[in-house]
Amino acid sequence: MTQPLLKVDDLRTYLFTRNGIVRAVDGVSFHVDAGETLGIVGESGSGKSMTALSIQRLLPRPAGRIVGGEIRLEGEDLVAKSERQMSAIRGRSMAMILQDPMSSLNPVFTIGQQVSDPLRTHRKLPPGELRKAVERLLEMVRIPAPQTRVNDYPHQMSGGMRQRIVGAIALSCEPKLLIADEPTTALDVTVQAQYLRLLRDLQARLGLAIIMITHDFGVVARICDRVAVMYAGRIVETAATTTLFDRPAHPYTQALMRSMPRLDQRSDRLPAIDGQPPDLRQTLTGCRFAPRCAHASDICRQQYPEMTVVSPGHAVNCWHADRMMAAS
Amino acid sequence: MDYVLQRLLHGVLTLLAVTIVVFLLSRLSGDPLSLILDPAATAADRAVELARLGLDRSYIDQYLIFLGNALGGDFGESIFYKAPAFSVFMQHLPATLELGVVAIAVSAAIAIPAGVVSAVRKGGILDTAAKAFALTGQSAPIFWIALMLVLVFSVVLGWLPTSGRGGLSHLVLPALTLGWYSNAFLMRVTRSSMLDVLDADYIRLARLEGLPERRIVWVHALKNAAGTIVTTLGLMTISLVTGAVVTETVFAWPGVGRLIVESIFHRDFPVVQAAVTVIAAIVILINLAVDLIFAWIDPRVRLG
Repeated sequence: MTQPLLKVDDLRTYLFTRNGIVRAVDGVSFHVDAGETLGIVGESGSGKSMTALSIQRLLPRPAGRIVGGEIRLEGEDLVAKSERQMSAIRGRSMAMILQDPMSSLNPVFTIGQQVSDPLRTHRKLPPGELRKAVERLLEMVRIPAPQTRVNDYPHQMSGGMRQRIVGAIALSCEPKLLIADEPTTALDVTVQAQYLRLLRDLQARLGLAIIMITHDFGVVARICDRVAVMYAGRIVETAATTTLFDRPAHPYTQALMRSMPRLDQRSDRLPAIDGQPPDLRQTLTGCRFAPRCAHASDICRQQYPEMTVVSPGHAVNCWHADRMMAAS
Repeated sequence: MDYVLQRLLHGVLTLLAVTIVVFLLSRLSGDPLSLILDPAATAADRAVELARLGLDRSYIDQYLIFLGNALGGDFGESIFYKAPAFSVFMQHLPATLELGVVAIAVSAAIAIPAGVVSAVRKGGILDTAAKAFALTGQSAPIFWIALMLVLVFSVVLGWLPTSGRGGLSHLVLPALTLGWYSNAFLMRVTRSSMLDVLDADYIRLARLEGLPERRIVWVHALKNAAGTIVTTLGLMTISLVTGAVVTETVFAWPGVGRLIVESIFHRDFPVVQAAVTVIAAIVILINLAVDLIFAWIDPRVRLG
């Protein structure tokens, strides 16, 4: 069996704040194979962004710290790397795109300077080749007239263009893994679709693996091969995208699906999930979702559910997985 | 280019307004004749002197004469120095510029790096020390700092002269005094604008690209903070050219700050007018320079 590109094992990332320890990521395990797209879905505060920042080892300082687990990229444990070693990995083996294209680019440097930064750092290209490489990258992300655009500043470009520039920067050193943290949330709907299509094309061309962090099942359906659903710092269900849409096994996933607007069914009101996610500063026993779950029984409140494999590649952490599957 | 012309025109109008205010204000400070004339002078002597100085004409006439001459660099004759007011002023300007330039250069060379480092290592040893220094720098009165420096370095240690203008050794204490406050201020400004910038998404993205931390701080972040720093430097330069009065007085430094104060006491209108007008022109030029540098650093300004 070949090893996966990225393997995260029992990752625990805590935030040590003045008001207590927030267990933002509390025992998360998943893997990403080369060339595939894994979606990580969850609501705000579920720990999906903290998971991404843990992989990049760029947690908010000084509060954030990885307190346990392993993150293996091509077999090498990133948790054990020094800051210097991480700088050589970031931008070269893995890259990241942030949510807001308006604030992701430095306002006082030209597009050309910013796209060439990682190339100059990691590849040490001579100036002539650098300029050509930058133009090629801009062309790759479909920026019209790249020869003149390199001299432009970010404020002269639209949000969609800026996010494509951010994409060009991320892909400049041909990383094997791209983490995209809600890259389309700040874009118009039409631009969103365009951007996802561009990502998918580039993925096919470069053999890139993508972790797509999102709260939008529409994005998941468009681009993800597999999905991991996060709730309160843990992954509660993992499945191939089609499987998850057809037969969601966790009551939380099912509730999320129901709260999504659909065109093929008329409804006056979208069902919402009652209650609030738990306070991650408390020591929690039992299933994190139990207080909001209609199917919860005594064991749900007492003990965290073991992982159940309901079908090949479809795993869920729920005591009543079989019953839920039968119902879905 | 339009931007520069527009700013220059603006500057000329401001300067014109300054001349009117200066002209009127110096007339409010009292009658110069009672200082010039012998106390025993008769009313006839007084009338002759009044006519000789042109002070018997209407204010509007006096102003127009003043303005016409001023355009040719003639601000009249100093009542006290008995020499052209403009050249009296220009004789005092180099001393002030020398002091100001040294003070600015020294404080920029210390305050900007110190501000950057204390922002990067927020809460660290240097940050705490810098904060304490900035607090004393901003709260201690300049004259007290000046006197303490003189006490320590001139009186007790005997290393440096107490006052006057001469070689490099004469420059140290006044420049230190003058730079003290602005050093503290510039450091605080650098620190706070760097803190803002270091929090930005594009800095996070630069780290995600694996760029060297030194480059991220000193190039990517500092260029964003530079606009605020240059503006502050401009304001500092202005206050050093105009407001070195206390320092110049304590150290008997023959600069324009002291000249203006003394000329006001002597009711020496021409010198006051020459000084304030030329200083206003300098202030306008410094502001223009700051605007141009700002636009050069931050491309978003050029649209405006």
